[in-house]
Amino acid sequence: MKGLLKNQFYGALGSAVILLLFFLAIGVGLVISGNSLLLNIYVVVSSAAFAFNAVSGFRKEASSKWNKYELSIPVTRNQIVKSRFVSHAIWVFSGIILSALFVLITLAVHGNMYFYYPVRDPLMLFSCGMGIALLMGSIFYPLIYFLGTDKNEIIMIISLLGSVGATMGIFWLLNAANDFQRLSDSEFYLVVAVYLAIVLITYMLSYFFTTFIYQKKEV
Amino acid sequence: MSNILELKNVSKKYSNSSFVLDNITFSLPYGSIMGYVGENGAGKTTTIGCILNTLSKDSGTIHLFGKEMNDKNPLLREDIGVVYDGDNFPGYLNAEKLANVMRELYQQWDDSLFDRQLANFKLNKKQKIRTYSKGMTMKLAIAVAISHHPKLLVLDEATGGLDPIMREEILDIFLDFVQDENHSILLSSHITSDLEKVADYITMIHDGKIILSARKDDLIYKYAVMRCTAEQFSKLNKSDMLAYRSKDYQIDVLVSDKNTAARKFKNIVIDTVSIDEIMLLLVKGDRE
Repeated sequence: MKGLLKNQFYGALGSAVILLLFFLAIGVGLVISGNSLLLNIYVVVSSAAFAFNAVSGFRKEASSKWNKYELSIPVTRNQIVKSRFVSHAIWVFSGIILSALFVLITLAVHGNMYFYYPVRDPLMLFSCGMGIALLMGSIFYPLIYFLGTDKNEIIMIISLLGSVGATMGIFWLLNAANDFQRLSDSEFYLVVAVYLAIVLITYMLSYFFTTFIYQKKEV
Repeated sequence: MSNILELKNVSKKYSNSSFVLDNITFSLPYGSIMGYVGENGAGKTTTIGCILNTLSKDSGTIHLFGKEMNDKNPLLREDIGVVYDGDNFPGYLNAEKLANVMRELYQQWDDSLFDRQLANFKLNKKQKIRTYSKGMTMKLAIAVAISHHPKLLVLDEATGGLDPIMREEILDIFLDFVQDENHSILLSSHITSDLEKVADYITMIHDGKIILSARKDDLIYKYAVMRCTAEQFSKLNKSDMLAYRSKDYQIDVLVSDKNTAARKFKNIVIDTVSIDEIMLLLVKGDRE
């Protein structure tokens, strides 16, 4: 599987470098300006944006016969799908690390003028960023294996909108369960934990479902 | 002689096409090259897809090295090198990065052999694959296929679209590969002249059915075509002919034993026959 991950890394490298430079520039802008809105957007968007590195590699591979070729090398279809999900998670966490770095620098430079609750607020932001990015993968991979790489663009859009919608829906349901009352610390952490658990379970279920689809796929 | 590859009654239907791969049966002995010939759409790639498990067969058995290959035993693929027509590898890689990937995938990956192949083929390790010409792409695919020390090479139209000089070079590599009697090659192609040069066996497929599988030497030295007039043709027994095809002033009749035909039909012109002509007679002519 290491070879598959390496190949996916090479495939993502071109767009990843551009994205990294872009987010470094925005990060520097954030540190200089100390803008609160920019900080919130930066945290939520960076994970999802880095997740695009993983999914964008699909189209590049599809332009060759690699998808067919990789079935002739000593790996199982399960390992191929697993490598996609592992690669996706690695890119998501790279986005989180990058945004966390710039949030810390911004806090060090400007002090904490961003978070009313110093733990709850950043935890919510990073959880949403990670959740949206992982849910995006949960939607993208089964769909791309089922519908094919020629529908890459529309599947990417569906994945992004679907993951944002799912996140909003999950939080609405969790708040509705509490009658939209103000949450105590323990209730808040429970809500975030439930959200992350839903995200991780969905991600794992999506992996199994994608493997099931790919086992039957003719290439 | 044992076989490196055996297909028995392999059938495959597509849900969205009327094409059917129908009871394909052939075997490839160790130490030999089999040319798998047929026109476009005859079923060559579908057969190879079934062999390599990229397509699922509906029925029949396929044994590679005596074992049935499925997704659960990928180690069997250590011993198989594959070359598809066209772009086998993603264009964002170069040969060096491709080696980095393959080194992690194949236990027997041989960097020095790969480097020698690249030097042989005059391929630049740093050049992006997307900038390769078709010939360079095929050479790289062959270099990769050989560099993990496979026992079986499966080549799907690997020489198609290459110029004659490049094809000659690649055919020499194939001949060199089968010097080891544990090595074999299944080479699908519609360029029969290539197969005449290197193949030990020829298997012909048409409309999803095997129409001929024989030793190449038998085809070249035993098979023949009788050039008959209509009157001569009317006197032939159907059992004497494999296929026949009417031309303007003659009827060409394919026979499997030139000497027997020469003894039996002394007044008919009998010519040796090329693989191309055999294929034409079997595909375009009427078969008995």
